[in-house]
Amino acid sequence: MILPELVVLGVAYGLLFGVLALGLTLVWGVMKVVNIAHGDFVTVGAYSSYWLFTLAGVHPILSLLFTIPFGFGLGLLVYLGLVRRVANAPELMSLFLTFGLSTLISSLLLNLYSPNQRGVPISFPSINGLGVVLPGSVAIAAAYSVVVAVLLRLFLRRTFWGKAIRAVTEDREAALLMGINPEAVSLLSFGIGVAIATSVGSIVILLQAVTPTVGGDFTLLSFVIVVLGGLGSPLGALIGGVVIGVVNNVASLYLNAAVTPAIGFIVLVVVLIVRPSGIAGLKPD
Amino acid sequence: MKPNPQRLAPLALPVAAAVLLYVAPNYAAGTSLPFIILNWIVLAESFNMFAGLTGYVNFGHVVFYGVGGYIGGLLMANSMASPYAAVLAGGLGSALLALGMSLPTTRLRGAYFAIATLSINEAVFVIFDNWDAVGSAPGFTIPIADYLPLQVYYVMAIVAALCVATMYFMTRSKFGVAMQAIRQQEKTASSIGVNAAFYKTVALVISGFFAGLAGALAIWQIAFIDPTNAFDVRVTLNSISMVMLGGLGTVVGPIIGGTLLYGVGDYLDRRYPFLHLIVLGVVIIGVVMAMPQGIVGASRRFFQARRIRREESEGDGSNSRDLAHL
Repeated sequence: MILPELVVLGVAYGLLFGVLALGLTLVWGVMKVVNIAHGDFVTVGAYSSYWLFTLAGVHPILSLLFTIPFGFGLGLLVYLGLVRRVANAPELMSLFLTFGLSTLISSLLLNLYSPNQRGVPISFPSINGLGVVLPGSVAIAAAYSVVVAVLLRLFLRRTFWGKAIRAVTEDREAALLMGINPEAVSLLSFGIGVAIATSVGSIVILLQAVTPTVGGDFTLLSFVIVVLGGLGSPLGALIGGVVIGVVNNVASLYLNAAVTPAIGFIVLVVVLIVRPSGIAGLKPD
Repeated sequence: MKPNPQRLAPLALPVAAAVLLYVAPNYAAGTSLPFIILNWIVLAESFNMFAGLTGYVNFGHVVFYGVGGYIGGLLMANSMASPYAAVLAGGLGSALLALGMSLPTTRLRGAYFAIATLSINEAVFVIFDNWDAVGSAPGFTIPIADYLPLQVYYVMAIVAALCVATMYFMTRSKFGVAMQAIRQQEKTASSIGVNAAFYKTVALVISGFFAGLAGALAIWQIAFIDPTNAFDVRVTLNSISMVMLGGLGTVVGPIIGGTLLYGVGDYLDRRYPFLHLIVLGVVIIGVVMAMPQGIVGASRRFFQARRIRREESEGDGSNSRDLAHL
């Protein structure tokens, strides 16, 4: 049975990329900045784990203990140094800025580590169940995604700062009047967004080899997912991730393998024509 | 009357023409640098026509360039048309594509538009990369039997002049005023009867036309095309950097930015291939942070401040003429 297997695989990959898209949508919701460098932070995380493994023998899963705080700190620095300055400028400016940042990160990695592919030679036992075989690394990715999604939901629902993020997402000025500091919330959510991206990088290195320029693909994928689900909607991002994951995998069964990468984009354009603000989206304004 | 930079604008065209004619003989001697710079100027200026006027970032700008190149290249390779007609067909084909693209995208706001155009770029690349009839991934070459470098150069120069002139008229007509209204407050503009979708479509079609001409001219010059280069997102990135550096929404900004950035970039590219992109990244970030209006905007502010100071010292501080769109 190949179809159920592809669906399960699609769901697993979809969850991981849905979590990645969560980081993007969180930042957009709070400060209306689309972070085009989002995927490049995934590359940074993947390279961190690669080097920790190659030089010190640290298992990529264990290196999450490094990539998460590292990504959070990096996010704080990027926000304070760059993004804060364009947060209130026209959208065009923040798009340009993060585009420049993306170029800078990928080309720095290119200069430091050459365009060669880097991967870690670790394999996991496959998981068999109900006639479906799932590679162990993909199962780990799915499990990690579920953990992050649950933790993030608890954080957003149960803690003061989580509620503050939701409040600012919904209405920045009203939140300000309620005594919430939107600047601090922006800083925090950018840190979380980048931490999610770098930690996903630690998982991605288990699934595939990476190059310095692979970040653009992740950014694009997160965009497609986020727009499918609707910018600013965390649940929408997860749903969008699973939809794209399943569509991509199942399409490969029926279509020429080379054409399948375009499927996601075609789905996106169709959805945008029918529903310009995504499946579960907030209004763009 | 004080000398005013704006009054010098009409002089720019004959000066540019003289420069282009002057560099032509050198060009015939073997270097293609002037051609490439003009090509970038057209790409940057056509990007500017849409982004600078409407405030929307078309991250799929290179699609027009690539499709124009493919149409022009196919016609030239199969000797179905004279190179002139092939170039024109490339431009018209891209204009048609822009019209098609505008249907789903002009209704999208801000970030949604940027993301949709980036996705279209990726989808078009994948299609051409797998399309056997147009050579799929390896691309194709065109025979260069009757290729005259000087001829291509002059056509390029004429297209560049037309492109800049079009931008000049777009900013100084009723059209330009409508665009300005859309850029500043799209909802308000719509509510007083400015058909935002119509104006955005027209701007995108003209932008696509010139980018398509540039693409077709490029393949006439280099006689080769493949999907990786034709739909390289870095072409869009370069156009954006040039426009930002020169001055978004200004007529001469892309000319200044294109010449400067290509000149520097070409030098760096030859010496340190990977460093080139770092410089682009730093330029974009630096311009956004330090002078969001680019070189033209910064110098305009400088002249304006100086004039106001002078007028104030003469006891006439009332007038502050708008120097928009130098």
